[in-house]
Amino acid sequence: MTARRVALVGAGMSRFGVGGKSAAGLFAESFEELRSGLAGMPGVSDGDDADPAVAFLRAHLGEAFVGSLSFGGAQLGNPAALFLEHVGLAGVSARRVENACASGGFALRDAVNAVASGKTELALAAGVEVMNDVPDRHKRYWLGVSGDTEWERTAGLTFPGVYALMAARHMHEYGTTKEQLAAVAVKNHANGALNPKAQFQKEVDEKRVVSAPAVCDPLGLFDCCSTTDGAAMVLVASEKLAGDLMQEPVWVAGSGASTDALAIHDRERLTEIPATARAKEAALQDAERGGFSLGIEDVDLAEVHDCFTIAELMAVEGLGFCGLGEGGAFTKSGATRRDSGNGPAVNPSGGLKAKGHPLGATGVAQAVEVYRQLTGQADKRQVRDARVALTHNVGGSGATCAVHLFQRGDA
Amino acid sequence: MTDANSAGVIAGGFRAGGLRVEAKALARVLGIQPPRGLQEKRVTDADETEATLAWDALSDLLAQSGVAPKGLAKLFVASQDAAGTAAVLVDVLGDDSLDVVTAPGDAQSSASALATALHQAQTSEGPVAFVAVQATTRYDPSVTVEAAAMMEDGAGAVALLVGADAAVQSTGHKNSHGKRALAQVRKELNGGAEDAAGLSQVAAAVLPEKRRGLERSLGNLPLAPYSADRLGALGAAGPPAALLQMLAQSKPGQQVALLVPDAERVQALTFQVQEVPRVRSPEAALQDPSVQVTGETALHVARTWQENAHAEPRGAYVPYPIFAGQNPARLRLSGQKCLGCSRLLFPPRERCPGCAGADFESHRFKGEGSVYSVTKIGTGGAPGEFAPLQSARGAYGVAVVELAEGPRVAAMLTGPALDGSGVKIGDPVRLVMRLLYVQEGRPRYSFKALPFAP
Repeated sequence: MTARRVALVGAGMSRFGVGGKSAAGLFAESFEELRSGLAGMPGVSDGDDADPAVAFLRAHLGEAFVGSLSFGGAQLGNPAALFLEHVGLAGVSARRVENACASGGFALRDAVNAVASGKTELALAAGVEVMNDVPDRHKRYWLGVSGDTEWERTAGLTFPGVYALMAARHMHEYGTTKEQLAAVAVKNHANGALNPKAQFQKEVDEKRVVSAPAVCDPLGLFDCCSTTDGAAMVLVASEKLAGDLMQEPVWVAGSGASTDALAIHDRERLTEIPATARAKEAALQDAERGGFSLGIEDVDLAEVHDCFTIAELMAVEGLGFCGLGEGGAFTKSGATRRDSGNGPAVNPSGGLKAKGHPLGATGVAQAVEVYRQLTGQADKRQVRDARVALTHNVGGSGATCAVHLFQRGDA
Repeated sequence: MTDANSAGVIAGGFRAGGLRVEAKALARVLGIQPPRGLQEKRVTDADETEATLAWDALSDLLAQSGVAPKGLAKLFVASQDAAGTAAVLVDVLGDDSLDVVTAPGDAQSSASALATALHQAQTSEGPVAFVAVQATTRYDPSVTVEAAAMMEDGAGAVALLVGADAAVQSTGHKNSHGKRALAQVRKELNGGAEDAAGLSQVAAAVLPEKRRGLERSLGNLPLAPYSADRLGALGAAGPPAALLQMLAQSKPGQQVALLVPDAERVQALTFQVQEVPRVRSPEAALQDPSVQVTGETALHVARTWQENAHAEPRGAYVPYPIFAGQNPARLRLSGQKCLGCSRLLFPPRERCPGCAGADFESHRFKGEGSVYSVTKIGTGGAPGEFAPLQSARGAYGVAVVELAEGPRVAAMLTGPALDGSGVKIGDPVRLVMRLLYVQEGRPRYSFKALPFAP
């Protein structure tokens, strides 16, 4: 059976940062951007509705998937209904999707599957997180509950700690250096400086990254992403509906996901996240089933999960942009810079590192950036001639991973 | 109660607290004068308690004596929290049916318990262990300790294996009360009805400033050397520690006595040395790696858990019954061997991640391995339940340990490397029992990785 093709037909995100807004408020802010984009599309503004975009959504939207860890616990139960109600869409089938930091990527996958299955013509994939409304010690509680609590956590480990163990091992096995790790932060901050929605819009240099205070040796302050408030959403449409809305749809060419042992000591290796490679393979196979002839070498830009600098090195290796152990040298060479011309642009949005990492929103915000880039709306950070893109969203230290492939227009 | 065929001390070992503090430095922080002659002392590190010191001493003793963990006939525990410590030791030994005698209190109750252990060992059908310990880490907020005790008290544990056919035979136990107790005991030791004329040495666990006075009271009988100037006062562990140090330097044929004096009471235990016993004396144990800390740090470490013991859980919460259910793995390294594919599993699980089989036999891991990866959790980075530990030592290290048998497990570092300094990938480590944290007023124990020189 050939799967039904699905496409992104709209995107929106809130400003990422420390905003003081509620989760519903951030959801509404990102919805406003999606709504205004939709309002200008052919096939939407066709009646005398007060708000044609909302009327369109009320008519077509069949499912909504909202990724969130519900950090802080402001609305732990039933938040999806609350969010939809806040944007005038009460009544739509909705639920929260939770896979730690990969909640958004899995919300997208669920939306893609819902449309591909034929159950609905239009689905919403969203994500939202408010992380800065609670004191630091409360934050550390939430940041600690997505790892293995019984053995990893009781050894005193934290997420920076777990990624630091990976970094130490990567350095040991491959000779990766702190300067190579720093290259991730330098590049992503440079990209973030061009993104008006990013939490951090300032460039940093290698010296500042390398000499920053240690968080968990060998990781310093600039090797770690921040805690962020934010929301993001994309609309996933069937081929038929997408054709009515856009001349050149942004196809979701492939979707793949995988899981792994929750605790890092139960993994065979610490220098890679096996779920990344498995999810990528699954996404490529999904693309092939959908009639897309894509290889990893076709990717023009990739939004990858750089919660820590080491995570981006493992991502570019695991996705196959370079060989295992080569991520440090590959990144330091500048190959993954937005304008390098000899490799995919990695994290042109600024990534989790500079754009910010509102846990449940991150996987969806990656797709928002892809939508902007593939529709030529990325302004100063536009990757030239971008046609094929990839998103890579990791939960915890690699227990969950979702990878999506996108293509502008037909091959 | 003298018996020519009595039991005696077969072997013995000693463990000192992992931190070392100079007396002057601590006295300055406490605002008092240090006792004369006390140079420094050993105190417990932030993850050491009575139970961990006691187990360190006891496990060494069992290993050296070739006694299996479940091979003891009886266990005596003498300490302030003897019942709590005994409960942990029973868990670690995995021997629910072990006959345990607890002697809560100080040096006097410890000496009485030792005399009882020696007496009962005559008729015991298997090896008897006597453990005496004092710790300086406190987690009970109701315990207030005056500055003088904070100044004098050190941390250490003694474990003795007692039984018949011992290298050192017990020959008597004297017990005198009242103002003239010391004179009475002296008289008995030197010229009483029993033959004590050949008494070669007398040991007593007294601080240096009281040593000369005691020797004078004993008619200028010199006391056997004891490292109180570097250990501090060891409470219940003091008398057996002084005994061990004397026995280590004894000669076959000697008659020796352990004297345990205080203001109201004096006890004396006498022994006949048949041959020099296998003992690890405090003097030798003081050569073990330790960490020198400032007076401020020593005091902060002592009070670390006290202030947090009853705070509401702030971490990824593991309910106590679930945690306690993991004791076989946490305390005895009891894992699994998959009967389907022979894979060894640690920590234990429901199904084999390899072949998905659910048939296992239990497999006890030896606890030796190497550092597979390592990091250091510093300021502000610790989860709530570990924040006191982190603040006590500034940072703590965490490793992924690759066990010699294959499986890997995350483990906090302990010992001099507790703060994560100086540990590299590939370094050999041994899993030992240490305090993880105190929650809901209860200490929780698990394995931690202790680097060692191969």
